[in-house]
Amino acid sequence: MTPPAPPEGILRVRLGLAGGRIEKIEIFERPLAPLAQLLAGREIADALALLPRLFTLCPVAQSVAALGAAEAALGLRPKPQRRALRTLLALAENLSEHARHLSLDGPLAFGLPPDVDGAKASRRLKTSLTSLLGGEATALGLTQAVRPDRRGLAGWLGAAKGLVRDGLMGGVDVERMRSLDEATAWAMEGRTTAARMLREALAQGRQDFGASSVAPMGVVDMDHIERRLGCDAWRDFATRPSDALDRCLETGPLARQHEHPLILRCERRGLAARLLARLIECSHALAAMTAALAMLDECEAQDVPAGDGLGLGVAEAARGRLFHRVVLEKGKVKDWRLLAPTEWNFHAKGPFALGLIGLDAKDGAEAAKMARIQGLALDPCVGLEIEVA
Amino acid sequence: MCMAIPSEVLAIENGMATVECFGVQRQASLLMMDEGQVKVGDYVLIQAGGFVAEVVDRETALSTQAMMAEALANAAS
Repeated sequence: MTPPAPPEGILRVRLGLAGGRIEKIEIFERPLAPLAQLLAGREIADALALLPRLFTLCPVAQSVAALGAAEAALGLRPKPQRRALRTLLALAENLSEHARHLSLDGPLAFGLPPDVDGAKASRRLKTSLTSLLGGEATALGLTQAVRPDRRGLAGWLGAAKGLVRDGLMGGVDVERMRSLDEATAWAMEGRTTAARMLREALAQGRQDFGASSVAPMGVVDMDHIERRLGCDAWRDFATRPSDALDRCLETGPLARQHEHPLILRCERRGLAARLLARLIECSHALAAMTAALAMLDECEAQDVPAGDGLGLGVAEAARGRLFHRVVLEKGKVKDWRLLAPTEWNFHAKGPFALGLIGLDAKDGAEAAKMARIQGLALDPCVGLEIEVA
Repeated sequence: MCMAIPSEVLAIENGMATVECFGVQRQASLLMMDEGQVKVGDYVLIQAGGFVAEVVDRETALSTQAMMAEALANAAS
């Protein structure tokens, strides 16, 4: 049996052009992670230790959602210092992902030179934190003791501040911007790759590019998600999710920041708003990580009860909200299901498709470029294979 | 599916690595990695966009490949 090709989030998309416009978009379902096959029958602690190895692109967010599900199933309440630890790791992962996008693949999509040093710094930010906390498995696990290196962590936070304030923002605080004119002025100065990306979007008249009428994901009915994931033998819900009102929603930075004063001033929420939302999240992450570090303390090892139960866990990954649903029997995994943000954002009625439908494109090459930019703006971790019919 | 299966580095030339996983060869950029951080024979993780993002130790890489191959085969059957 030959396994399929490596599946790093590749999504196949077919664009239909007619009369110089994108008239139709087909998004082909991608294979879902075979989590139940991989984890069924394992002790929950073993399954949780395996997850970061399976989801190496956003291992913290996946682990945080999984831990939440396992704790809910077993009726455990994590201590505040363990919650602070997870918050810190999750924010650092999101910041690292945003910084990589704003330094590397974002500018490349616009034909701009990348900030290679910034991209490397974003990668080091994530890897150095996990080692300061004792490695991912130790730091994130359900039961392991944690011994944070306080002095090392203070230095790490300083590097994170430098990456955001200087590397991404060029000495300007996005939180102090009160109007789009201020954001435009910052972009025109072009001190960083993020600023030059926004400048290029404005110069091409694409500040509103990719805006859609899809509602942002706010509070969702967790019972609805749990029920639908639980009765989903054919994975219809996991591949085409909807909320309790049968709507597809947008998830990710723009949805999380849609009530931020600067985003509220964006008349249409397209490319510029998505880029600003990422920068706002980077700034917020610094404040929240500072608070989490203050709460961080040593955690002693604890036992996991071998119980039965069902739990739903949730985490906000850089690209959007992630759900894990776990069923345990005598402390072993009986079933494990996942709902990823990609399935909302790349839904046939989601922001990727509805943000592109009806846009002018003079030929297939331009349509494909537009789809790549829209895909990157929504989720830099999804590689698109685009064909134009 | 946002999984990344470790790929073996077969060759490195001009900042690009030729990598292989499950018999499929691909090109990946070493732009995000430091000079000399990746060597032929290493196992690496590749992010969407084709950038090498991390070096993985050989034992972990091989066990992850074996586990994924089995799970993907079971899921397909």
